[in-house]
Amino acid sequence: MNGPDAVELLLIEDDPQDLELVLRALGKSNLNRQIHVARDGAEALDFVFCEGPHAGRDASNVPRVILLDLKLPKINGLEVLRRIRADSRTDMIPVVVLTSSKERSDVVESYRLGVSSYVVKPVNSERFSEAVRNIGLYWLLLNLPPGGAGKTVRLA
Amino acid sequence: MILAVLTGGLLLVALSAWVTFSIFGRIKDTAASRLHVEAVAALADDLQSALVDAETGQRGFSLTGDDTFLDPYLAVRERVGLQLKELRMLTKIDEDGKRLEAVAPLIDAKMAEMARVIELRRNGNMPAVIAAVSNGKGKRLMDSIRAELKGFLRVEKIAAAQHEAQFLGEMRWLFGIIVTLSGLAMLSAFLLAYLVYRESRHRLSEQNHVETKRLLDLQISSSGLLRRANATLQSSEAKLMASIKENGDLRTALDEHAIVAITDSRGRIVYVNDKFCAISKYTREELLGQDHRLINSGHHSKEFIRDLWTTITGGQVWHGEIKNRAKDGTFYWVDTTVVPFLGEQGQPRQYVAIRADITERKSNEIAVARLAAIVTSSDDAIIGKSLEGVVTSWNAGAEKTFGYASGEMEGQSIMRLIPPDRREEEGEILAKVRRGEAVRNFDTVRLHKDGRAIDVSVTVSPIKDAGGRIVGASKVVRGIMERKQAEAALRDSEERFRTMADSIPQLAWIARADGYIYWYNRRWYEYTGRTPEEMEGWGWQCVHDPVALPRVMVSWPAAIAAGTRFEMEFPLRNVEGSYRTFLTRGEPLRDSTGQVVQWFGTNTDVTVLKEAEERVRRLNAELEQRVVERTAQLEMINKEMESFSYSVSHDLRTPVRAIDGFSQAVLEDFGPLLPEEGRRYLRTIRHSAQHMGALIDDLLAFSQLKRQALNKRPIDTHELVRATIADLGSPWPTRQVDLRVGDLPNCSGDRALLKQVWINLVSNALKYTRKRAIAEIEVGCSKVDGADAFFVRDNGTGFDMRYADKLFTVFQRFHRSEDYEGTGVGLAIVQRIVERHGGRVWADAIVDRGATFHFTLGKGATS
Repeated sequence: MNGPDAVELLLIEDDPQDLELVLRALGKSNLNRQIHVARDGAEALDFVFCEGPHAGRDASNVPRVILLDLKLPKINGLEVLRRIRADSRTDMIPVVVLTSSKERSDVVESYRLGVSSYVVKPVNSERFSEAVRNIGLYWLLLNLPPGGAGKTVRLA
Repeated sequence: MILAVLTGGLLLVALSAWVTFSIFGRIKDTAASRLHVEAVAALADDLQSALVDAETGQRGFSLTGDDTFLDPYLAVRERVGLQLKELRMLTKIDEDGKRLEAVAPLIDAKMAEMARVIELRRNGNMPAVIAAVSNGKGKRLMDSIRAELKGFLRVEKIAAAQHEAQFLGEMRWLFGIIVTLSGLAMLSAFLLAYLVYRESRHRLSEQNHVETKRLLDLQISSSGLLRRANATLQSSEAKLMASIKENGDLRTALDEHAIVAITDSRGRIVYVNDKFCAISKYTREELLGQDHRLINSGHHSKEFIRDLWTTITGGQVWHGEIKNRAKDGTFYWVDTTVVPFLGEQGQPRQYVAIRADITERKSNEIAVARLAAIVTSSDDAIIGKSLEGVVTSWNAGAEKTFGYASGEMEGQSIMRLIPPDRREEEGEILAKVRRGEAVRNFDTVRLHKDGRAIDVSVTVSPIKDAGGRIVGASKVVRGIMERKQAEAALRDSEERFRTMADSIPQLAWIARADGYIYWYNRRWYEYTGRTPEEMEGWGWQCVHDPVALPRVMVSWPAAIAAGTRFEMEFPLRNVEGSYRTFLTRGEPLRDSTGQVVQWFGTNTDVTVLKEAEERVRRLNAELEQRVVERTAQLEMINKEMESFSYSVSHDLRTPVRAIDGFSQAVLEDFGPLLPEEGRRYLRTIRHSAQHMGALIDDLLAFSQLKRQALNKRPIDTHELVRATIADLGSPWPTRQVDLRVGDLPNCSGDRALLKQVWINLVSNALKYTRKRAIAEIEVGCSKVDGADAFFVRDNGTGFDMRYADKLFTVFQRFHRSEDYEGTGVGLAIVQRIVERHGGRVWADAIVDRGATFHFTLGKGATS
């Protein structure tokens, strides 16, 4: 199951600076292995449903968690979330929204669509690193995914 | 049964036979007794005539001395004792026996007397004989004997008569018995016949001929009995029929003449004749058995009815006039006689009411009485006068009108009432009356008793007697002072009305009930430039707009027909030939009966008004359009604002975060390579970036407040403040803070927003007391202008009240950021939240002594 292209975390983030800061924070805790990054909503969905450039991907290889930004090019984050939840192959994957938006409508709509967690990116860099680290530790190590027992994370 | 009846019948026959036998016995006895009396009477007669013979003989002898004369005497002397004895034996009556005892010595004396006279004659003593004869002793004795015997005979005859009377009485009684027995025998014969008939039918087939024969014989004999009985019955029936017919004839005679009803003692109708049914309009079936009160009219008093009943229940005849009610509710009067028929105890058994219809007479009486009442009570003077002008009657109205009492006027000349200058009027009036003509509503002047002239209207009609001859005049006089005044008042008010109608700015008109306009005000002629002749009636159509006229010609006649107010707008052409719009109203004027008598109308020029209305309407429409446009604009702006703040929320933070994040990364990764000055620069960059982040957050929060809906709930204020303080990090181990929370009333509002208010105010207090050794912060509530005002007081740096008006403005800061960090949005947020709750916020402060922030939450929000 855990082949060389097995993905533990799908990170969907369009902003390069934010992407770098997230990866840097994960890296600090050695959580930056087997991460696939998608830069917009369409790319993320292609990956999840093994379509387009990812047509040959093993569909049974689902990530333990998806980190999802809301403001995305092409297909926005809420639409990505809706489609993931609407498909029986992916509807149980934990999805964590990691966004700059504190808008109440975004929060409510995300939960309505079945998000697992909603985290606002702090401006303060220490608190930002802390938040990303906690997410990684919790969802990649502590949380038991629906995929079943026995699936372990190989720490780098 | 037959046997019993037969036995009874036989017994009856035997009884009859015995009775008949005993009648024969009695008849024999009576005949014997009659013979006995006759025998006694004959004996007594014999005795008496023997004595007379003896006396006659004795007298003959006394006169002649011839012995042959003495033969009767001698024969009597021989027999007299025997005859007496015989008589005594025959008589059975004690009284008569005694009487005979008394007669015997008298006869003896008589005989002795005769013997003495005979002896004296024999002796030739004639003087003594004459003396003896003439002294009357012999005659007295003879009279006594005769009287005694007569009495004796009378007693005997009386006894015989008594006996005969007794016999006759007994005979009657016995005859009665015989009749009764015959009746019973007849009855039993009937019964027997019936029984035999039944029996014979029953047994006919079984009975032998002998028995049949016997029964037939029996029947024949019964038939004989029956025939006899029938004959008796028929004769008594005939008698009865005769009696009934007599009765019936009487009743028919009564029924023909009168209304007759018979009631029983309790007043229930048991008989009514046709006349009664006809007048009461009830059928006989409806009346019989009913209480007589059925036709009670209710007209008569209780006393009247009681008198009637007292009279007839006392067995007396009642007579009076009664008003009754027929079935159809109409009333009729009857002259009534009620005769009680008495029973054996003298109690009324039934009442016979005999009536005569007097309805017509009654109604005449009533009409006459009513007429008299009308004349008496009339306010008009009603005067009767002869053809010579002499007053014959004078009613109360006349007294009132002229002031004279009837006693003063009756018999006086009518001329007294007529002013001298109008004397000839009366002559003309009387002349007309004599010709049989009437004078009607002749307005003239008459004199009151006090001398003043009064306006009157006079109607005089001839009065005719039964033969149609004119015998006088009736004069009805009505005071017309009021009418004259009313006419004058009406003229006056009409004049005033026209003056007023001429002075108003409207056009006005008056129409008859049928819509014919007969008057316009002056303004109408001024406006139209027309003449009254052109306008009268329906001439107004020529000043109408031909386009609008058809509509008017429908609505106005419709209003006339319905008698309802007419209201319409239409143009009228003025003297220059241009049209102006008029609002026209026609109001129906009604008399006391509600009948429309006139129309009063006005036409008000509403051209200016209509134009103004049109302008207002146009403006309104424009305004509405503008509001719609403006609303759309505002909605667009709002949308833009929303998307703007959304973008700010997402996009503004990202670069700030990158600045801070990479500065931090430089410090972490290359910090040791940099000089201290370089590291300080990076720290400054980070500080600024974080401040930028705070500003963005506050601004977003502030802008969202406008859009966010209030979620009002009851709030435990004390609990909310405690939670706020806990959120702010109490206790503060590095500082000495004396925070007191006083009594706080509960309130109603959006909990999340109000918590923001408390956070901002308390955190401000904590911030600006940072430099105090002991920070004193007080949270409480006071009354301001009758409302609950929460406050947060501190002993911090305070501020200059000169700038108090800028305190709640966004980004306005009173302190340098080196001294007190902040974005300048906190108090603006507080003000916005408080104002959205309908309250207000204000502050008072003294520089370096502290500040107090107050806020209220609007009416009724605290309790």
